[in-house]
Amino acid sequence: MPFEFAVALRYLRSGRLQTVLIFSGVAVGIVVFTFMAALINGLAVTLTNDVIGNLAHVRLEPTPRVPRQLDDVAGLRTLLAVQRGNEPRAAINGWRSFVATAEAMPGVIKVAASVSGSGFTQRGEKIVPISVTGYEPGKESEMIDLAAGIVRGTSALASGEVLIGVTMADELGVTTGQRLRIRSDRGRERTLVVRGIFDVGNATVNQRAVFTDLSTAQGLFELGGAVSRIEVKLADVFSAPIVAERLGALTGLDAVDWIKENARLQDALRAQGSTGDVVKFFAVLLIIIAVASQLLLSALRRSAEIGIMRSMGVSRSSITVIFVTQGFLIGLLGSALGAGLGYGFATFLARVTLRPDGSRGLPVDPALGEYWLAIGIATVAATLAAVLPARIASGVDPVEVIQQ
Amino acid sequence: MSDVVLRVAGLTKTYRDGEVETEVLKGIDLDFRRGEFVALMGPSGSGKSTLLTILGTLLKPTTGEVELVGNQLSALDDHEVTRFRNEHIGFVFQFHHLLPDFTALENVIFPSLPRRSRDPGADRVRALELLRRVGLADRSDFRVTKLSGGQKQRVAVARALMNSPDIILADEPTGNLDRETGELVLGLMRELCAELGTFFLISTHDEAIAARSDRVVRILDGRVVPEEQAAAALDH
Repeated sequence: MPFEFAVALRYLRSGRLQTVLIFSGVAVGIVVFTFMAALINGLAVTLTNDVIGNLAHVRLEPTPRVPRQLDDVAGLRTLLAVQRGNEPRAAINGWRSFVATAEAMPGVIKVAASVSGSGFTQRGEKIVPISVTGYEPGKESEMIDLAAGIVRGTSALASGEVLIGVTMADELGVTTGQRLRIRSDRGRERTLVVRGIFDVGNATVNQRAVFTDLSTAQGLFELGGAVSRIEVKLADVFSAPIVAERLGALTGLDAVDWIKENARLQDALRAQGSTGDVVKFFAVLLIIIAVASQLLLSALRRSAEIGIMRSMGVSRSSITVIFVTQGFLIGLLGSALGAGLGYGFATFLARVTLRPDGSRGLPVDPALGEYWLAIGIATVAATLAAVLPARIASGVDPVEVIQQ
Repeated sequence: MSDVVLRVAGLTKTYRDGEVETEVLKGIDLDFRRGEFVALMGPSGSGKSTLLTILGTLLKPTTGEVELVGNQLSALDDHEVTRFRNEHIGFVFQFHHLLPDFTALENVIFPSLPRRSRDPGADRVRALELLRRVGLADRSDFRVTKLSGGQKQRVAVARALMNSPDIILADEPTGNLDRETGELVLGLMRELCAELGTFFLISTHDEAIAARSDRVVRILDGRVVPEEQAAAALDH
């Protein structure tokens, strides 16, 4: 072991109370750092999951049919208004090959073709606007986890059946096994049996969404064998823009990713992250100030010893190394202690605020505490904080010490 | 001539404080031989401490040359001077100046630590032998703060000898000890000087030390003076 390291270690061991205090200071700073990371990152994951839990991460859609004005006739001005008609909406034909293409893409975990559109449902005198989505049998729960949210009945749909949300069921006074008349915006009507009632924790979905099988939806919206879109879920939700770009290029369809559609969520997450970064910055700044002041005091208190060491032939650089090593050890060991305490604290809070349904009362995720990053930053910061005291210590004039 | 371990020629030292210049050493010429035990005497402010500090390579002279075991110190850079000091010079201070966080054994070993090539096992054996030689073998694992004044000074003597230096510079080594303990430490240094052939230069006001020295160098007003002149100056 280099003697500078041994001396640094001895200095830390011999100044017990001061060492305990400075280690505690660093550890508390790291508890703040890691707890903020666990909270902010946990909150980001919770918010993201809440938003995209009921969304496809990437949607492949046909290019919309937009009516256009005919070219001007030479010499005449055209004074025509362009209005949209009620022609069948753009749809994806031959969608199975696109589904296969999406399924083959790395990072893609679920793919489902769907038909969607709006309409009304009526029961008795009550009329409710609805959003209808049809999936292939067995794929109802691929995008929204309907199976997990079923509160009555079942999520497995057969032809002529629907799933509706709890709010809509209450509004219409309907339950499983009863019938609903549905009219699409294309004017088609079908009477469908309520197969299940769900609660997915999203008010809009619970109130307005109706899920049915693909063929029923194709009939309601006059799509024949085509689909409205292909929905994709990804293992890494933040890779959505890249995957969307690739799928768009491969299929020639319009590919829309969830991040682009939720820019305000991204802004909110970034703002939240920045707030966390500010708190973490001040935690690290406090560590730097604490370590620098502690070692500065040590350098002044030990100036006589340093002078004697210099007279014994210990070089200035060795004195510097002794103090910088102390900073390094304080940073490394103090932050390791703090990371352990931070993990324990985050775990404790996550447990005590756990709700009976298993959801988190406080969005702290102990796994997202950035512990290694905290240890790395604190170690580097404490080492750098030791440089000034080390320079002062190495500048001690042995002659002054001896003459004192 | 090969016996000369330390040679000082034309040494001057002037301190500057703004516009004020104070000439502390005014041309010192001295030769010291291996195995000599020399007392450096003079009244306070005569320049003894400054001379000792320059000989210990802790301070640079204004003019003149110091040659230690054949090396012109002015030719060495700071890093080389530090290494040279570690290898060739040992210090004993009036207030022992031991490292309080270390044991007696660790204090004695300490000067060997900065050496590039060292054998920790052999260093430990040598340090223990030196502690035995100064009568503190049974105190080797004691924190130095637990030792008496005389014991601390004996540890300091052992520490000064750790790297087998060519010269030992001692500044009032018995000045902070009672007479009996002082006699003990002085006797020990005298023995080690004879036994190891190390040159000892003892800065002191104590005539008893002068009486037990091979030679006395007296300094007065920054100059080496003959015994009679020094005595006359003191009489006035």
